[in-house]
Amino acid sequence: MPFSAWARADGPSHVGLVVRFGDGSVFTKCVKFDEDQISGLEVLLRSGLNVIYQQSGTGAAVCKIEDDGCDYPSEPCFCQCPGGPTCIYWSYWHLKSGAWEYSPAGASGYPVRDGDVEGWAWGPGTTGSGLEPPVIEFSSICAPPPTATPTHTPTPTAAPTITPTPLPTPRDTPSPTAEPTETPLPTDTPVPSPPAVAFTVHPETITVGECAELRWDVEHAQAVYLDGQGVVGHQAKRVCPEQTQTYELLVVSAVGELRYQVTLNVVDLSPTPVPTDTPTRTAAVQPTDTPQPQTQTPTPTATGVPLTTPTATSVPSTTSLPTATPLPTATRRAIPTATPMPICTPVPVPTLTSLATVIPPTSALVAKPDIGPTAAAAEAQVTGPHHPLPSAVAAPEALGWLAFVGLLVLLVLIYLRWRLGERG
Amino acid sequence: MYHTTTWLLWLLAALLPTMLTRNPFYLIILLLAVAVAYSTIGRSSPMAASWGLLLRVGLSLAAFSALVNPLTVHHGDTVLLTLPRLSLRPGGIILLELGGRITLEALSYGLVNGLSLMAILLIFATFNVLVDHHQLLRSIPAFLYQTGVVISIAIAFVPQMMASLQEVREAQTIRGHRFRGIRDLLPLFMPLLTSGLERAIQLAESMEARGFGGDVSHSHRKQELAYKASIALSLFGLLAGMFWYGYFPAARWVGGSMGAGGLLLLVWTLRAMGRRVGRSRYRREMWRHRDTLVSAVSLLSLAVFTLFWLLGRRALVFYPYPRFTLPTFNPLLGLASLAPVAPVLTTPKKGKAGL
Repeated sequence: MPFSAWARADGPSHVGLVVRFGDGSVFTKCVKFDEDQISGLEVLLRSGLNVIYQQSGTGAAVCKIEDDGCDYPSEPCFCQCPGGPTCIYWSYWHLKSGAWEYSPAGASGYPVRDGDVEGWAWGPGTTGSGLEPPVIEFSSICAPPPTATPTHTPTPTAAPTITPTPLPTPRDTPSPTAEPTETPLPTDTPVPSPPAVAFTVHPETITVGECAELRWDVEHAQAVYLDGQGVVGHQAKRVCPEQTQTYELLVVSAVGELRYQVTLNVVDLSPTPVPTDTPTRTAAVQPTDTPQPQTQTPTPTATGVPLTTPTATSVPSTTSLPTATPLPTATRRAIPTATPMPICTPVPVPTLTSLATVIPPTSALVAKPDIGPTAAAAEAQVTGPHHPLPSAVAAPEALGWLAFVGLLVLLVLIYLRWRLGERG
Repeated sequence: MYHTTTWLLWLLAALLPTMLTRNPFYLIILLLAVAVAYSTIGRSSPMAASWGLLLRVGLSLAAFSALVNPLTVHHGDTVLLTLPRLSLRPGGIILLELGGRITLEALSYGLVNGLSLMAILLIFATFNVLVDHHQLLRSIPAFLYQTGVVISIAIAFVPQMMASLQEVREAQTIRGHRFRGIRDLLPLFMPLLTSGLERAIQLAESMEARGFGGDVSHSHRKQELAYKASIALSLFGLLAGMFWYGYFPAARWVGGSMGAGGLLLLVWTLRAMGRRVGRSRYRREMWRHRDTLVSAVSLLSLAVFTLFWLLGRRALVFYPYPRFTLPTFNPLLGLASLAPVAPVLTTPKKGKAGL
């Protein structure tokens, strides 16, 4: 694999990150940094993924990435290691000449330099080996900006799909340029099992200012997207829209893409009945097995979800053809119309031939003229305190502190009483 | 003042929180409660001098931890300041990196770790001051009588040696000896050694005169062998059970029952061995009403902490990474951390009654 000139150039360093989750989905990201080297843990933290790690005197251990792993410290960092020869944990890898190599050091002690590729995989392993992430070369993850052809060479190993999971937190707004690519599904798919999907909203009707809970439980899926944003299979989400909203769950599975919709009716006391629906929305039967265009334009203020460009899966063993030009930043609302969803339409379940997917900008498969700002934003989040220290004290917390001070005063009183009694 | 069992329960109740929680609020309360216990009922004890020393050791340990952690750990989102970096990386792998980003998270974690270290030290220091060591030794189980003797000699050894060192020094000073360098140690060391040996022989003679070891009812060789085999078997069962339990999670009940069986056999054997040793007590310890009170408070505190730990550790943990948030404070746990102050409340005032 030739290293790109971009990677060799002076200036910010780049490192490729490949994270293989427990369900087989893979997240890749090109992480930019200004230092000449940073630790492997730092790469993971700067990727914007939600990482929980255990810091000890000897270094840090990664307990959880996104939804896979252990909730340290309320449970042990290696909670799926009950003993025995093998256990399930996040194994740490380095790509060395086209093959993964189990890391000789912990993530906080391993120096990462420009052009390296770091791998993480959640799966069974021992001390010294484990489930390997799929081999994705640096040039595939950190594509040079001038050549905007997102030729993704697929990996023959494991993961059948490369599912970038964008972050649920609003700070990780993907950059608005998405390069939709159309990729046909491989013909030799193993016996496909249809996904089991339950998608509900509770309550179904709220008044303005109230919130409802969206809940979805998806089994046997390769990827799940809520309004274009990658999510995990089983999750609930609180939404507080200001007007009636239809939420769409896109389930990518071995049998094709399935879309499910639920509508949350918002009763507004002031009469503004016109919903801002994008014109492309089709009032479809729900749940529809026929894929629909990705039409929803969620308002970021209402849902707390950053408006994202549609995310998607890319199916390997094909070369993806870009069918749309990168979208300018300003026209976020135009995204749905620019997406090629209507072109690469409906995949009837039995005769699946093509699967339209859109790749998020954070993915490696994207021509990214904007990688700089994205990475820079991620970096800024890590280095600067993006959340202010908890200065606003909630009422129960204040009560707790009051109790703490009370107990301290009690101790002082006990001491004084003894002292005075001694004298008297 | 209090029964030895009471003090042991007190020690457990004070130590358990330091093992289970890193929440600075509970640690601070615990630390202050122990300090109050020392400065009220512990100050009159002959061992009181050691407390100040251990306090100083604890403070320096806490300061060390609070300083080293932020210097070596660079994770955490809240950067306080950035220092020049000094890294040690043999073979390309970062072993130690001093300086760099100093984060609030690392600082707070270092402080809390230091706090818990200091709490452990102070708890033992206070226990040392409060408990009667001779009574403590007497509560060693009967089958361990030899160990008990060894420990009591060891405990008596240090103070006796300090006293005799002082004597030797005084005697040598009168003779004009001045300590200037390492060579001047010999005139101090030699008399110390001879007096130590003399004391050992004296002790052995007096023990023999009192019939030490003579009270063990002699058993047959066969029975002795059976006891030894039983101990070996029970220890093997215990270890194998623990190994099985950890290594084969699929069949935990096998390991569990093996370990439990080994433990039962061990307890039974040791009890049987202890029954052969006849022990008489000249001065029995009294269990007073206040012992009941303090023990009950200690047990209650132990129960609260264990319960919180079993039901969910969220209330007990404090882990600042990756972003610092103030830990929560649960009044019930706070009250439970106050348990070490119980003996202060129940001890009668001087001149009123009792000791």
